[in-house]
Amino acid sequence: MVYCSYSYSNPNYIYETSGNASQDSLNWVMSNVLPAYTGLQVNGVFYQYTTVKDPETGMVVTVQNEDALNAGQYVFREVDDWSGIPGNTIQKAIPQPYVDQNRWGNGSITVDGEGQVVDASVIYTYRYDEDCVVSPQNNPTCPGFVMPEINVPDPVDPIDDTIQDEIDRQRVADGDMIQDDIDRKKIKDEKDNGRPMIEVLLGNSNTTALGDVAQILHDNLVLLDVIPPSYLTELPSTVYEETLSLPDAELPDNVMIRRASYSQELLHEQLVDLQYQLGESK
Amino acid sequence: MNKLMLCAISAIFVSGAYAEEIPITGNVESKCVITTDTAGVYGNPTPSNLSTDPTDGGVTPIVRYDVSMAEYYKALITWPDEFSQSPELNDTVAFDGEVTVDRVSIATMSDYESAKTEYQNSTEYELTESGSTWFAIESEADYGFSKAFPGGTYRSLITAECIAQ
Repeated sequence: MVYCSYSYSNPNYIYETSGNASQDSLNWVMSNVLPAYTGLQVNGVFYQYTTVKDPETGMVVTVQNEDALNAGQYVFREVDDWSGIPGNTIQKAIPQPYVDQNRWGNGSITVDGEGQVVDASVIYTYRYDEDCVVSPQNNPTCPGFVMPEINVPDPVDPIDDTIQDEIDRQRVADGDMIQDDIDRKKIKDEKDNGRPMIEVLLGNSNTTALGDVAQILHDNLVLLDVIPPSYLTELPSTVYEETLSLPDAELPDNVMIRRASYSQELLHEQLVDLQYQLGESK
Repeated sequence: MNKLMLCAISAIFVSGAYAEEIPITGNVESKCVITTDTAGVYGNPTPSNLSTDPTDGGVTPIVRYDVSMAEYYKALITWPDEFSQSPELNDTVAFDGEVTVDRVSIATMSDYESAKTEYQNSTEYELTESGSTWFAIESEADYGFSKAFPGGTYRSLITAECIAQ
């Protein structure tokens, strides 16, 4: 199994804002608010609403989003206590630490006490990697990215190879013949190993790369007079120049050679004719 | 002669002493920032009247105070009582105005409105909470006794200050 290297660029984030989540109701579903982009992260919540209440009454307003991954908990929750104060318009910007989209559950504005919430506006700011939207495989930082693998097939077992099977089958079929060949070659090699190889011995005299043992063997062979003395004669290192020279470039025809050729031709014809003459004499 | 002697002694004294001035530098970032949220526009519902009220065709100017330290500042907002730019006017102009808390970032800031102090054309707010407060300033001008404003551009200025207590 081989893992190939993978190069990627920095995330290409796009920052956008949602519409007013509480436009139609004080309870909203996040899937209708945030686009279903892979890797989308919420980085802020802006909300504004106006309370209509008696300054003397108690009123607590909560703006919240359930945590979709942890039941009973909230991923975002902001409480405004309007108890004992007149109503007004409140506007808040709550930064969020790039919380993944899958954690944002249903949102709501709840009121505990006496009073009303009007003109509510809840807007989410978010970012997403444009490359991840196209395909999670565009960047290793994308959710759902799977490290690409290249499956290289394992080497084929020669035992399972049909070609090798055929070779083996043929080898078994010809087993006797092959064994005979092997035996004959072995016998021949044993004979050859017993013969002194003159080429090797001569090579010993021309090289100093051989060891001392080889040099001693060489000297013994020389003393035994096995090696012809001419093999040990060193040729001088010289250049043999051309000694012949022609006085001019034009060579005249050799008349003697032409005569000899002609006389040989005549003799050949006489010999050929002679066989016919011998036939006639019979 | 005495004067000369004094001068000589003094010169020696000065040359023998060594003094160095060591600076101390400190930067204080403002804990109260004023930002114009919405610029105002005068509407002209009647020939003799200019008003920022949206029902009169105007736009109410809004200024935002961002305070990072509670109970250290007060907001002083003054609505205009004259035009900073206008055609030549040969009659009196009666200015009126009102400053109110428009929006808050903390619910308890809603108390600012009931605790404000008004005098002349100024309004003071004790900024007892840290956070942002939006103030809406209404401005209205009536020319003469139902006299038509001459044509032209009219400008006025609102003064918004953050005063350390």
